[in-house]
Amino acid sequence: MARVWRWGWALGATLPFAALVVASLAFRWSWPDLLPTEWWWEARRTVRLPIGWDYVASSASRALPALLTSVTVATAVTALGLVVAWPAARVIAHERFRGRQAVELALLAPLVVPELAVALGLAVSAVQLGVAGTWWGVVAAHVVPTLPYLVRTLAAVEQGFDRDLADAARVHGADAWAVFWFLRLPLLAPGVAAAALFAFLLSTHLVVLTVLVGQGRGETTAVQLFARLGGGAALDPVSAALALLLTLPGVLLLVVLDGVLRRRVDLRGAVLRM
Amino acid sequence: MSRRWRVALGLAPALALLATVFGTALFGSLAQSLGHAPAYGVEAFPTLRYYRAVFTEAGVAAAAARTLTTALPATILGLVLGAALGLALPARRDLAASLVQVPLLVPYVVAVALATVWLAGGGVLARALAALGLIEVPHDLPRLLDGAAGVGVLVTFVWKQVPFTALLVAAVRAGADPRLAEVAHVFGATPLQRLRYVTLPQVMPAVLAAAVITLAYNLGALEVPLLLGGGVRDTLAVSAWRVYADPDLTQRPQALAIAWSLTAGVVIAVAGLLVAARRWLPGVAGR
Repeated sequence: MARVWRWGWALGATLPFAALVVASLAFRWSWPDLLPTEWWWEARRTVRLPIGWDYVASSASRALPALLTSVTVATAVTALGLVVAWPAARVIAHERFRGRQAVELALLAPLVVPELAVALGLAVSAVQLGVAGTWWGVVAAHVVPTLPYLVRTLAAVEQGFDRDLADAARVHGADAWAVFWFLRLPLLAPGVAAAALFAFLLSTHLVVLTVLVGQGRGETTAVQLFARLGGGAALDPVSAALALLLTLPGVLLLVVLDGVLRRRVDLRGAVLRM
Repeated sequence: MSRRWRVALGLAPALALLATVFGTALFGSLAQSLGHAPAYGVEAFPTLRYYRAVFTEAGVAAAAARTLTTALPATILGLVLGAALGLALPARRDLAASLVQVPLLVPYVVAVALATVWLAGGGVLARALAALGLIEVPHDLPRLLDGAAGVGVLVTFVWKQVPFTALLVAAVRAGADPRLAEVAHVFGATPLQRLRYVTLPQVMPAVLAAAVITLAYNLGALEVPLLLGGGVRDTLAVSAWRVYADPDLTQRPQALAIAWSLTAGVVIAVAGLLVAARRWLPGVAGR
């Protein structure tokens, strides 16, 4: 019973993507055919690639530059996020201090405040700060929603670190650098890597912040797809291709987390953001 | 380095970034919603005119109602199904447990694309029904995406959020003491009683955490109701977006007033949820 329910959801979670694949490979898919009337490979003489993928690959669509923007922004967001969140997570995990609850609450606040409200406010303050329409403005804006998630996850990772080990190393003459390099880094790396991967993924998902702060300059893949959707019409092949492209990072992440980091990471309670 | 300094230095970067980006966004927009927006040619600070409009205009009231009728059913359905799925996930993760997570790892715009390819007028669902001979033309299928029922928005939220709740529940359950259920069993509790009096109280903190986050998201979400609402089901977030996009820039403080009212509403809803949990679910409080 539990197994049927579980596998039912597993299929419901993955099977819908098959329709995206079909839509992206169809040459003609008219009503009421369940499968394309004409697949792309049957029309190879007219089109080199499936229509959707051909357009995505062409320079006219700006899909590849957008993908590059997605990746570079997400990389910078991850790096900046780790630099600011890790020290805070370490303090929250190991120290007791006055105002601790207030600090934790402040760091969780971006989870509750709607992204749209932050984005609308940032659209103006970004102009005042001179970062509107810049790559850096988008990066700084993206760090906000990743922050609660990074701090929570990294604090959990830090809590799992046995500080007696560091004391023992120090007693035996290790300096701060040696403790970090030979002890903390190897022990914490899997957890930090998992947190970093989620921050990266989250950044590639953000649309509203990117549109309003980037003001056209920060055209990521998610923004491109957002701009094509809506209106209640059937999905066009290009949108299907873009959606599949945008699914890729998440699938890769799942493979990495399950395959590579599986035994060493405990992500319990870490999944904070959808 | 003293402990005090260590704490201050450790927290400083995160709090500084939060204050610069998040803080200026919130307070800048608050000032604008109160009439201080020289960039848009509005200099009426302080005025409550825009907030008065929020509470008096019929369109905004309707949007507020739609925000609730969109967010609440999706949140509740997602929580119930998610908790049920979480309890069905095994302690040792199998392939099904991995696949279940996929919706969590794709952005909402991809979920919207999926909803479109399946549920749109000539989508896969309509074709499947036609293949079965149940309908003849796409029109025979009720409008799922842009109709007044808002089925597409509901399905998209639930599809995306069930795994989220499920993972939180499964994680808490894996960390809970299994002996309690065994003791209950030994003392003759039926499976239903074990679920009601042992398992559910154990996982309630996870359900509450998921409730807070999904409710806050669903109340404030823009992409899904904007793209799948078909322009007839504007929520507060969608109306704020539309007013902001108006060519008349002097309207923008109005958009910010709507966004701020929405934010206040979300904060009140979340606080209310937490207070209610503290009141009626003793033992859950403090998490």
